[in-house]
Amino acid sequence: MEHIRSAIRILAVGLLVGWGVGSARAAEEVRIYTYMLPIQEGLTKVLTENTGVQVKTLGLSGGELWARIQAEKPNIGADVIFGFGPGPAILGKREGLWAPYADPPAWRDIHARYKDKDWTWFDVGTSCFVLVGNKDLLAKKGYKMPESWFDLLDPKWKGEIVMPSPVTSGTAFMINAAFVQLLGWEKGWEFLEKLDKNVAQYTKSGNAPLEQVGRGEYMLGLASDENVPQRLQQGFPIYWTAPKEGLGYEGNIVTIVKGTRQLEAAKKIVNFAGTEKFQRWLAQFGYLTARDAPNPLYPTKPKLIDYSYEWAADNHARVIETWKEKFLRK
Amino acid sequence: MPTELLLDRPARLRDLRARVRVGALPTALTLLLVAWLLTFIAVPVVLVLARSVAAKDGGITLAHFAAFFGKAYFLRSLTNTLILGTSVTALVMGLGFALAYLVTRGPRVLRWPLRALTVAPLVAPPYLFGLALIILGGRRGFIAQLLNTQIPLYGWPGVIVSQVLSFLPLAFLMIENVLESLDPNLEDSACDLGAGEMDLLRTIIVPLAAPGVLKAALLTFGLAIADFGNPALLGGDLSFLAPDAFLMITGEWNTEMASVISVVLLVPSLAIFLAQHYWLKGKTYTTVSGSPAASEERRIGPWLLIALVVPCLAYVAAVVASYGVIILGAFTKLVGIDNTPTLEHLVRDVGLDAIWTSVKVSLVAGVVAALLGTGLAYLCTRTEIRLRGFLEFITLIGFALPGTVMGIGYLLAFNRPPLLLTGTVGILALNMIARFLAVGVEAGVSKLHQIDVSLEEASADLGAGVLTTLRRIVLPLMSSAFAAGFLFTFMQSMISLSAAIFLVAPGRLLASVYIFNRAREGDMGIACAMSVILIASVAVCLWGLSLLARRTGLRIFAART
Repeated sequence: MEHIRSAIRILAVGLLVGWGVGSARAAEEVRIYTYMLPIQEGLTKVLTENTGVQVKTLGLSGGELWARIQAEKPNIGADVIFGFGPGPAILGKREGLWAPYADPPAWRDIHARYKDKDWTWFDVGTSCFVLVGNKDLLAKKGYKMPESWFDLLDPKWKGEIVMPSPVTSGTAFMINAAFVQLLGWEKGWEFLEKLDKNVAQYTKSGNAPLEQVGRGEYMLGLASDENVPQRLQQGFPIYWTAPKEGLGYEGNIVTIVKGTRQLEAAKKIVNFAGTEKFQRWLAQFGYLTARDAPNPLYPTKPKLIDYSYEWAADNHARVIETWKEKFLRK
Repeated sequence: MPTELLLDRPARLRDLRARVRVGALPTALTLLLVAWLLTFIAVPVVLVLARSVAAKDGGITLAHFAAFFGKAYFLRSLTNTLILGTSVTALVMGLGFALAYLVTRGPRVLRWPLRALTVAPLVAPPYLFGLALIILGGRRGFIAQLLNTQIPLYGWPGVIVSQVLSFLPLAFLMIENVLESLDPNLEDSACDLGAGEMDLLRTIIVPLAAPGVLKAALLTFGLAIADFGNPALLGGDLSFLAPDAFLMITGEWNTEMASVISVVLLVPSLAIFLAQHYWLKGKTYTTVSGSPAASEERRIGPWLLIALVVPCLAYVAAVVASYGVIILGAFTKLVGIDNTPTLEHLVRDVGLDAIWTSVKVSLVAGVVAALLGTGLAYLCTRTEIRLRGFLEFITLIGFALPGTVMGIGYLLAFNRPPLLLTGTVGILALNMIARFLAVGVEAGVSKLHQIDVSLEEASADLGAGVLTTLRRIVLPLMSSAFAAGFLFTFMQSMISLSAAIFLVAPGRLLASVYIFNRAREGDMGIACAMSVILIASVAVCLWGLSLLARRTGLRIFAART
């Protein structure tokens, strides 16, 4: 008898807790998906404090974020996507997933290339991929940081370079797409094939090469610049450079999801993203913001590889397929 | 109480079933359970299966399967996965049996500490051992620096070690449960008759424990081949099916191909399940007609003791080292680079929020899964349900399927009316229940196989109704199975990742997903710190439960000697 009673007690408590959890959703709450993982905590805070809207964020990598949207549509579980790639943003626009917000006041004096002409997406700033190197390991061998991407083809780097795999990483897609756009389809893949001979490992995340190089597992890495300032400040023994041919870059797109019940609050967030205040906040992490702002990583704008968002959207699958055919390790 | 071996079980069971069938309650319960299982396990799985043969024009096609088997890459993944599952299962069974033997029959001084250290990994996110291994044994990890050599961690060694660390505790608990339920009188009698310890092992313990150990092996194999985290972190350039399925979805949003991989992944699990199911028939043993009796310390000869203790100590050392590194990482600025003590990693709003959500979801999931699991186990073993094999099969499917697929399946099934559940906390709990229910069922079935039907018959003969028998006889005896189901579901829900990653929503974030994201970004400090808090929360919950157990007399934890 005693057993039954306590079992019922546990069940009752469990159900009550479940009920409480289920009904605890606040009214003025905006749900956000973001792939800006390194700054997720700060982003949540800065948006909540400055817009008066209770912001709840979910961090996902680029591939996951888009997979989720594809699987969830038309009932996408977010009101705003704050930070994802321009390729998926454009594909989503073609599918009619975003709600336009015409001419937000804070965005008026921002250059047109950061705004979709149909007002469905806004680019708060770009991330680049850079070359990082481990100070200690380079010094031990007496090697210098390469100044050109082509220096990476030198056989002396064999087994010492890490870069991300485009199967999972948005950064890696950007890396491959940038070289292909810089050198042309044939020449670009030729370069990547030669580079492959020196690559020790293709990582799942675009930030992972920075961590592995920082921990001294490999000498050189092609990595997203998102976490570089933070890691430098924390004392990672790393160099980073922008090779002379330029850096590949990709926007961090903000869109409002069509059908959201929090349209007004979502607009507040999009508008705030264009303000001087937010842009200065974002720039401190090394993002090349839509408005000019003091940037610890790039005191002056680095040379960028010419890169078309439309091209990235059109060739997304083709680039990944080609990469898999050539480089997926058996 | 007399001990009986090899009863004439089928006939008596038939007799009992005839009696149980009389009540309307089992039928009603069965229908409810069937409805639940179909909705929350079968439907999502069927939707995923349908995806694997879905053609672009809405028809049916086998093109995706042809693509899978036409590629050397996928075939290699398949072989790798099978090799991994087999070797990890073999290692885990060997170690698990050694540990369980020492804990149930070994020297008393060793029992408690061994047991505590063995189950310790149960409360850590599995991929955390991967991270700890990288810090400890990576290309320039602590061990490499200490010995000034390179350890080939990425590849087979890393994946196998981290999987063994992750899956041993569960197998250990199951084998321990079996060994504990073997009546020590049998072994004592054998000893008195002059049997040596090897004879004891060979002729009594191993044969009697075999069905239970086999169930543990099945679960371990299923976990090993479905695991995503460890192969993804430590596999290097080796490919495995489960990470491939995950990557197909996360990287290419190719649900068709991911579904094909899951179907392929399901075949070995299915084969083993069927083999075990028929092999076990007519081979169940009853040695305890009631609660497990306390087992005396046994004199273990020096050679056997060494053979048992050395691998166990190696395992325990690995666990302790991993935890040490994690704690070090939580309280230093940047472990290995800047070892200044700090508390900065502990204060993260989103992270702490996520841990609280995890605790709530896991408690609810644990209770419901244990109730459903033991109920199902009873229905499957003691009543005449036509669909019982099918029911057991469905729960195993939920368990055997890679979490990724259950995640995508839930998205496909519950993203639109009539059951619009995505974005709620409820879908997280439901998913956990569906995925881990099988352990409660397995534990219950194991237990019921060991409890003699005569107890229930006696109760029925004395005029007790179905409910009374259930309440007075079956439930008390099954409380350890209930506990196993609850504890497993609770702990797995606290740390499981691959399905949740698709179901978490803004504000409904689980700690495991948060930690994985931080770990993947290389924020080792935060990952370690949040893991420490997560482990502490599990410990606090378990402590609270043991208090509750003492207050109410409910046997939440199986009795220890």
